[in-house]
Amino acid sequence: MDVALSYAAWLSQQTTDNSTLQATFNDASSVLFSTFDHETHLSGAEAEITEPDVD
Amino acid sequence: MTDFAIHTAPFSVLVTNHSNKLTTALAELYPATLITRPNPQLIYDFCLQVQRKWAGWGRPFHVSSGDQHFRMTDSAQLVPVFEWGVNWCVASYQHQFLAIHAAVLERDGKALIMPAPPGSGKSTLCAVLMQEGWRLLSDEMCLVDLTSGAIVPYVRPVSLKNQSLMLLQSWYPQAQIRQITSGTTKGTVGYMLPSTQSWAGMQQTATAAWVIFPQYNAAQQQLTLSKLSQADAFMHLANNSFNYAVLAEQGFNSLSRLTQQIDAYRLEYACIEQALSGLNKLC
Repeated sequence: MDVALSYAAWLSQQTTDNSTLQATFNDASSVLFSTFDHETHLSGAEAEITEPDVD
Repeated sequence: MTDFAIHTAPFSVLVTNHSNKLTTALAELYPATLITRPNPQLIYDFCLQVQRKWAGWGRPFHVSSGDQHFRMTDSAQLVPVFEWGVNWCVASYQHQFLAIHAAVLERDGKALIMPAPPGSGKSTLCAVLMQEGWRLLSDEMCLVDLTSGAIVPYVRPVSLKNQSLMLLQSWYPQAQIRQITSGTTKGTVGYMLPSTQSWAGMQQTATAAWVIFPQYNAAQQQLTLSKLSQADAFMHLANNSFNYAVLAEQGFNSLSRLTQQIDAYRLEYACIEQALSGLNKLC
C-alpha cells in the first residue's frame, strides 16, 4: 500500500471510529453502536482498529 | 355502526366499528370507564377500522388502520384479531417509547421484564405472577420512556393460548378468563382479566430491575437460572425490540441505560412451581 492510500484508509477508519458509541456496563461487558451504519455489536466481536504504519 | 374509543394508557385508539359483537365482547374485557364514545375534539394515537366487506367471502370483517391492511376475519374470531390489530398498531407506529416484545410485572416499584418468543411460556408465567400478587404492566409490550428510562404500563387483558388456558383455569379457578375463541391462527385463545391492582396502577411507572429470559422445557430435571452478562442481555433485548432499529442512536442510549439498571438471567423450567420458587428467591 502506498503512503497516500494508506493515509486515506487511516482517515476513513478515524471517521468510523468517531461515529461509534460504546456502552460499558457495571459488569465490565460492553456494546458498540455505529452511528454510521446503525449496527450494534458486542464489544469483543469487533476487530480492533489500529492506525496503519506509514513509512 | 358502533364507533368507540378505547383508552388503555398510554394510548387512545379510535375504532370505526361495524360489529355489535365486538362492542359487547370488549365490554367484558375492559373496564367501562376505558371505553367511550368518540370525541371529535380529541386526537387519537391510532385509528383502527373494523369494517364489514361483502367481498371477504367467509371472512367478511376487514381490520385495518388507515390504508394499511391488517387482516380479514370472520365474526367468531373478531376479538383476537382486534387485539392483535391494536398490538400491530403499537408495534408499527409508536416510536415515542422503546418497545420490547416482553411481559412486564412490578413489585415494590421494581419491574421484572420477560422477553421471549412464542412458546417459551412467557404469558403463562406472566399470568401466574399476576395471580400471585405482582402488578401487571403488560403481557406483550415493554414500553421504555426515552426521556426518563421508566417502564410505562400498557395494561390490557393477558392473552393465553391452548394448554396454557386450561392450566391457568385449573390452578386459579377464581381467575376471570373471557372470550375464549378456538380455531384462530394461534389455536385457542382466551383473555385473563388484569387484577384490580393492575388496572388501578395503569398509569404508574416502574423502574427496571430484572430481565428474565424464560424457557419452558418439559425435559428439564430442575430449574436452571443462569446469569447473563449485561452486554448479552442488551443484545437479546435489542433483538426483541420492535423499534430499536428505527430509533437508532436514541434506541441505543435508551437500551444502554435500561441495561445498566438490570440483572439478567436465563430461566429454564419444567413446572410452574419451580419457576415461581426461583423467581421469588431472585426478585
